[in-house]
Amino acid sequence: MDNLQGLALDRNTGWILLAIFGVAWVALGIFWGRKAKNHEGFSLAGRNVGMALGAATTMATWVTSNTIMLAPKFALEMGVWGMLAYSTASFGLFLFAPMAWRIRRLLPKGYTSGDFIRLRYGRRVWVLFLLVSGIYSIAWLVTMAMAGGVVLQTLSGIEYRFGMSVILLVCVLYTLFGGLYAVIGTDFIQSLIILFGVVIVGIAAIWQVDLSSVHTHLMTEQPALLDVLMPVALLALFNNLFFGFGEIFHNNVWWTRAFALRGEISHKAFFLSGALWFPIPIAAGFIALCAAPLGINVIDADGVGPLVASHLLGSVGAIVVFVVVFCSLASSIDSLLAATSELFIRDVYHKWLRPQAGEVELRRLGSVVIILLGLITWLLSLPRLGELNLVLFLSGPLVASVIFPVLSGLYWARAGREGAFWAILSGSIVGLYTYFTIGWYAASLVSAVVSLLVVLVFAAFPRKPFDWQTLDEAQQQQSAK
Amino acid sequence: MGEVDSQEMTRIVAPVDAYVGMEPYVNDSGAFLLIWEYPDAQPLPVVVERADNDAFDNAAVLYRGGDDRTYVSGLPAGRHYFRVRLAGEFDSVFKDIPAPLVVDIAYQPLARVFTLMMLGALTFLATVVIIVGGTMCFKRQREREDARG
Repeated sequence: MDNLQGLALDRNTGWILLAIFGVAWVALGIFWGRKAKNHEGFSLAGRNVGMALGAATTMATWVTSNTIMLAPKFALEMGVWGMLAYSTASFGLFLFAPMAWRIRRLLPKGYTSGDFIRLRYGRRVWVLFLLVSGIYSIAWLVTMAMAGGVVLQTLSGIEYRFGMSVILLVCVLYTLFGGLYAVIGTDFIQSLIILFGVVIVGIAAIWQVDLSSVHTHLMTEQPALLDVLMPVALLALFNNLFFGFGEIFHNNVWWTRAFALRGEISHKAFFLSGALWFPIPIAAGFIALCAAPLGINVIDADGVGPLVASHLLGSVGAIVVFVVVFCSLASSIDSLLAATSELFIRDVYHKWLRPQAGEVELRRLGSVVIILLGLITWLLSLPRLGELNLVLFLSGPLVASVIFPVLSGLYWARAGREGAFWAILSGSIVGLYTYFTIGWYAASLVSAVVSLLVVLVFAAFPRKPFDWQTLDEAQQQQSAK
Repeated sequence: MGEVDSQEMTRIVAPVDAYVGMEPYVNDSGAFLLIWEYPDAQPLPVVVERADNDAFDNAAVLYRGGDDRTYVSGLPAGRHYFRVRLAGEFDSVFKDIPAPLVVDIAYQPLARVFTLMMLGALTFLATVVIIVGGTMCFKRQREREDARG
């Protein structure tokens, strides 16, 4: 059997690739950044993003290091159901499509998901929401930065802390220069590279692997991977579905895109991005099923996808994987940096601490917050904390608990702040309890179920229907004047 | 080459430290990382074997090479035995077989799985109904308002 501890790329090639893409992204960031004339241009790309860029940025943002590295891990541990379980994360994009339509109409001048929660449910729920969103965003940023360092080290031998630091620095720089214009522009190019790379690896896998021998090997040596009743995989199917719903429905990355896309195309762009995203985990995951039949010794389940791909395609494959992972990391880290800094500036600073702050001040603070977020992420990623996905799955119950408060807030006039508060709190607590007593594969599912029940119970109490006009804050302020 | 004593044999150290008479390691996912140590920490060629009996009759070879770990997945429910032997010329000098790791794969009971899946399906249905139904309702309302001018 092969020993894959040998490197697929030499260190110099790794550095050259890193330098080429790093310089290219920063240059593009500076180029696109010229379009941002004010804070709205910087943070929402002028609310005028079209179909192609919109679909590409959404798809590229959702293809994270988790898609490239955890989808194969799901397949390695849970077989065919594992790949499908990961693909259910695309359902969040499909369902966010009609939500984006609704969001644009309720908050025509909105900036963040926090705006909506504050106006809809008041300050107590808003604080809880910001806490959940903040924990999740930092966890996501840290795991992505760590994944970058791990992949670079695995493929090219570049030391973890250097690879992680360079990727993070590149993303901070071009987000800093260009804001959402740069994020969306680079996302477009990155989405094309990701799709192209995944197709190449998929074709190579089918070309080089004898599917019948893979099937025979799995049947005899790893039969649970083909078992339609594999318990962990069946639970992971729903768990990942609700984790994905929670991530997309609450996080400012997606709300920012809903505000940035042109009103009439926002729902189409989200639907198209979901359709483009759906097959990626299946293509990326399939190759992991071939690891044992190909005689590859997997020594790190997190890195099974890149390892098998580089084994199938040699150094060319390693370069493809290197570039795809770099693009998928960069396209997600930049989006999260931009959206999280916006959440802090708009929600905490402008709406709470300094309502009189002007555009220039907000723009300047935006840059400071992006640098600070990058610094916090770097400090937390430096010690290479345990398994990549451990922290991310732990945040699953938190974000899943927010699904129904967000949905009922958007669609039910009877939904109130008490129901939203207790749904988030009880869903999070019961979900975390499930994480530690049953397992990660049921935590988000249980959290979502509990959250729904609490929302339904509170909605049954009679209350004054919510006035939807309240959400149009700009209109309200104009009327008050 | 002379004989080596049992302290110089390979030893499985993860997912749990294997020793003679140990309790089985219970796992509910069918996947885990198997790690072993070499005599005197020197990497040597090894053979990793899995069997469904402690005599290792009809054992399957999971790995042969010089690594110190391998990821095991796709195991069916039930008891499994793992051992790591030195391979090639080193194998022939063994007096004792290293202690096997005994693993019990105990998946979640299907009754619990189906209950959770049913709850998940209902919650998914509720999500779709709220979003699609809500959006259609507001679109109709908007069309009525537009018609009224």
